[in-house]
Amino acid sequence: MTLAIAIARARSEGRHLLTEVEAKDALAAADLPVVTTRLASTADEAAAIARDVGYPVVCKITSPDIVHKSDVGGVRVALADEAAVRRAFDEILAAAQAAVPDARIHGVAVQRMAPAGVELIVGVTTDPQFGPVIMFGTGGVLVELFRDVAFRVVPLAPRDAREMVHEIRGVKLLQGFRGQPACDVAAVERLLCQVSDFVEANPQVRELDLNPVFAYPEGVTAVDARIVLSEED
Amino acid sequence: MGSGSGEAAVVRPLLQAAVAAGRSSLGAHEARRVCEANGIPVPQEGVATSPEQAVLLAERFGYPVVAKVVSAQILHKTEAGGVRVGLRSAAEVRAAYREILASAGSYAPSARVDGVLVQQMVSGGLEVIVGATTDPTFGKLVAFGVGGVLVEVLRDVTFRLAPLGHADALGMLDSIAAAPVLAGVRGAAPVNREALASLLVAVSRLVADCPELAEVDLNPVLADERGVVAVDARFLLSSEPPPVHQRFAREEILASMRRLLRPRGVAVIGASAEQGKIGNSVMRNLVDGGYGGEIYPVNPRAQEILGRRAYASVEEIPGEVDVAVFAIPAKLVPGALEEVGRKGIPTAVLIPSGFAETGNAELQAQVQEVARRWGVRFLGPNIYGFYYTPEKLCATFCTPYDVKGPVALSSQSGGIGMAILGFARSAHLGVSAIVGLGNKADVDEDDLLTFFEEDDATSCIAMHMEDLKDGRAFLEVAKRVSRMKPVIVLKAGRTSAGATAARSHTGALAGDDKVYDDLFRAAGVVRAPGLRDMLEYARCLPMLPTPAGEHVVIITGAGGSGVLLSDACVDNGLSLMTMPPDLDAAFRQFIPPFGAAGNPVDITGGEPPSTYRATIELALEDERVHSLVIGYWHTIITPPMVFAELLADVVEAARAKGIRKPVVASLAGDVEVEAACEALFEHGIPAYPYTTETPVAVLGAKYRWARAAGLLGDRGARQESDGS
Repeated sequence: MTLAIAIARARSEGRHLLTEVEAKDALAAADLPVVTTRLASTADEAAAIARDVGYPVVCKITSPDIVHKSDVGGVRVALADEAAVRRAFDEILAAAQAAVPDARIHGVAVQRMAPAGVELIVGVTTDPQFGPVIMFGTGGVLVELFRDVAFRVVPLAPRDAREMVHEIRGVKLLQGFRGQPACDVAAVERLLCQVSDFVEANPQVRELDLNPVFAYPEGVTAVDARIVLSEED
Repeated sequence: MGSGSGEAAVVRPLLQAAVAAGRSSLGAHEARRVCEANGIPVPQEGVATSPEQAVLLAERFGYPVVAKVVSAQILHKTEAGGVRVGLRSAAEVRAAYREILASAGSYAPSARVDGVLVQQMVSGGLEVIVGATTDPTFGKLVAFGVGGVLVEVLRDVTFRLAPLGHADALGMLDSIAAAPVLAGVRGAAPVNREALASLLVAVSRLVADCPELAEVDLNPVLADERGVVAVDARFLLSSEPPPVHQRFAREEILASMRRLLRPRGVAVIGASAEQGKIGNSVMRNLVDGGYGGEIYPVNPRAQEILGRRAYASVEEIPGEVDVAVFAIPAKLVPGALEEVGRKGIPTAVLIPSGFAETGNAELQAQVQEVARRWGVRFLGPNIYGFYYTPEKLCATFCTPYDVKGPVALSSQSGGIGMAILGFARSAHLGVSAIVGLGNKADVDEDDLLTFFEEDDATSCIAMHMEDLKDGRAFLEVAKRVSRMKPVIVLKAGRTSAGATAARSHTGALAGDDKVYDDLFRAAGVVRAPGLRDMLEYARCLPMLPTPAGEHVVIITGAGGSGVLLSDACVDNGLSLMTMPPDLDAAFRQFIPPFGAAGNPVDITGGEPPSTYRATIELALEDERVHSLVIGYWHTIITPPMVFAELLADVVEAARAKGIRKPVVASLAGDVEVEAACEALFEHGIPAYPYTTETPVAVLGAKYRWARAAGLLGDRGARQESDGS
């Protein structure tokens, strides 16, 4: 699904927030490294997707009316086999329906559970003065406390991406800290440029969050994605 | 500091044996024993010799558990198939027991297997680091921070002296940037603060009692709402005895310092009649400064200097001499100091350079030895001397200074001493003392603080320092003095302090300025970020009354200044008062409709003196307002001097009514504002031209001091730790 289709669907439903699956599909269509995430309407489909992407998997409720998925019991992680996936599918639907009875349910998103890497955050916000602005920083619970982030205006030149990565204090984590292997910094920089290109090509995107992004010795992966559209096209 | 606790009696023989064996760290088994003896919770474990025993252990600890083969002959347990993790039931434990024995048997058929170690598998909870390190200046320190890797990258860690009380340990938990994480974020339960504080106290007592322990790393410690568990514990040893600092009792220090600063007579060794010589400048300054005691020139080649009889040696001086000022070459100092000792002169001022600062540590050690032998206390060497204005005493080769006032200043460097002197003269800053400390081979900051504490002429102390010889002695005195008189410190070398070769995580984290920062704050010391800041704090803190509370109000004639003053308040940890509706309405009576009440109160630019007067009066008289920041804007309607006069007048009228609140002012305008600021300073109101930052910074420094001194109640104390 490209962004255009996702936007059309969201607009028709009066939404500004894309679902996680819509956002990830749109980003994947633009070649951004996101964890493959597919929507299952039935337990059979969920099991098939899990078999396809490989265990362990994560299942999440997908509904335009449920923003905080964990709070309604709509997320199950580290599902190791088909039985667990089927059970999780049923439980998630039941929990979501119980918590938000009128919610429009698109289905259950199934994704491979990405191995942990160095946790990063990449975001875009639209500033009233500067227009789209990219944020990059160390991720995790503490990001809000330490504000270890760097900002640049879109569009980003490769040099900007390189500077951003080296501006944050957490860059040490990427360079191989305390005996850990160094991360693929080039892939991180490439991701920042891709995000810049994506929002430049799609001015309807008002906000974008890739949180967390895991960086590995080879490559990076956005584990979760969120896209907010502007009020109008 | 060692209390000789029962725990130490168990642990110390073990540590001493390890040190005697030439080891630099403890093994896992020893580390566990040290933890257990000191109430440091570690994962539970036990050795089982049958599957049923393994299940019993697992059920006592709670699932999940880890099982490991126990055999002296099997070093690489994982390779031998001798480790199983995440065992969640009796069946899994039983199976693991059998599998481990079978694998070990086929891996090393001849190995003797003593059983299977069953260990509680700790997971979940918040990862924190608790550690201890040995600082060259402060000795044993305790460290606390959140999160394994992040704590090192972002250096979000806090230090305190060991041993530590429970309340101080709780305070540490609030002193890190990640403190909100401890209270539970993203739905996590808050950690058990009491258990965490008890762990910090236990570690602090352990290192304080055991000099053999150089560094401790409990990393990670997992903390949750039930308690804490140290998953990994490292103990690094040291065979070096802790440094012994010479300490004097408070009464001994006072006896010497009183004679140094209020001497009955002063001898100048190397006094000279020749202009341009240091011995001449010192003589002139003593005479011209107006010192009332006897002045004795000492010079074997002179009969008379500046109309005073000269002596060949101090021993020939007939009268009482309390201070000998040395103005002779370095190599002659030890000999002359012997004579000073024989004469019974209790203190010396060693101006000459050519000692440790030029690499001649031997000569300095020789001077120390002579002084110690004769019980002579001395300043320097390598200093400009000192001033003490209550006695009109200028025992220095610099120019005389006699403006009396409440501030005592000291500097380790001569150049900074000159800057202090120049600033004082330029700002008409009244001082009680200016003291050069130089190489600090004897008298140092804690001796001076001890004197200034009881000195009625001094109500504020500002010190420039590059290092501390005995950090604990300084903190001890500073903590006591700062409750009564602000102690301001400019610490140079912020980027290189404590650069020791650290072996542990905690040690590496301590290798920067953070240690000084935390320990100074905990002792109530107000740290100045730069030289000019130290001087301005020293000038303004005695001038500003102590605020009664945290509510700051800004009144400004320039909207632009108002925004900048608000920013400066936030930067300096000040709280802008939320304007109560009735007070807001009261302000509105005086300001044009397009002005803005709220806080800042923007009275707008074109207002006459009466508007400034009415609004400032209102703020001074309202009990809910505790401090005032005034932003002035130069206009024809209210010229700078008119503003200065009205502000001084309003503040003085309030003082007459017994209202004493800190008021600072920022003046924006043409050069006339400079004279207006001077006039305001003369009325005890800190006022600065062309800056919105400095007036707020000095107010912020006053608040930092007042909070730490406990003058603003609990709320203040909490804000102080939040602002770290």
